[in-house]
Amino acid sequence: MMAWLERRLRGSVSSSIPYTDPLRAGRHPFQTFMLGLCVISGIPLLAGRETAGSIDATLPDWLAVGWGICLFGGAVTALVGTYWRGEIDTALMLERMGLDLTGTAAVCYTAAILIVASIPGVVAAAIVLGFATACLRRARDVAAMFVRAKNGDG
Amino acid sequence: MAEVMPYIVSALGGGGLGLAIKAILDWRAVRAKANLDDTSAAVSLTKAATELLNPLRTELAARERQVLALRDELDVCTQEAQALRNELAMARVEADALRREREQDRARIRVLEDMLRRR
Repeated sequence: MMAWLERRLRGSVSSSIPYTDPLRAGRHPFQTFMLGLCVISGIPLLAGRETAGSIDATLPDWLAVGWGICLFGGAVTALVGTYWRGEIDTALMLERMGLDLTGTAAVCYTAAILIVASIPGVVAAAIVLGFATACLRRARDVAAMFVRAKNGDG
Repeated sequence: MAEVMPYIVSALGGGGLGLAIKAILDWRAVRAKANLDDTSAAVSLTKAATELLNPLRTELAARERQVLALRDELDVCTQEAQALRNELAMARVEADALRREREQDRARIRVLEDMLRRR
């Protein structure tokens, strides 16, 4: 039984780790998971059912919907760019755009949590701010590649 | 503080939108440059990504050299340890031989003492 399991696992192990390459680093499992969470949490938000309490408490309806679109749309765009099978420049552009929007939405959510919950909300705000930082950091890394490509020798 | 939240969010949203528009502009600029250079944008970006990896590659190469140097040192120490072990084994064999010789000498001395006592 163990030998059979071992044979199956050996066959499924990849010989490469694609997301170690800066061009494909967006395919890291953690990034995919977090963006997937944003997509999942954005669906009921845009359907007008459950919303983030802090956002509802601090923003007018139209701005709350705009925030939801930014979060959901940004996460979808980033995921599409990450797994885009076409040209790499289009993929990176979509990923960067999506991460900028998602990171911005996360920063807004951090501000809303701190305003509504104050000190008790510091831990939640720190987690969301960490996610925002990660999104904007990856977007910045992709931007660095575009700047080098723009200014380089070709 | 809650009253200014819509303004904060609007400002942040504007910033985010600005970053997204910059992404599109950079993409178009890279494509335009690639057309001018008669290459492809993918090649330019791959080259840029490789250049970003170069400092890491240099560090990795330095660490590999360190590992090789330590491995050479380990080989030398292993050989020295083996030589010392061989020397120790030979010294033990010599000590055993000397011990046997001493026993034989003691036995001869006892025989001679017996002979002297009988006289």
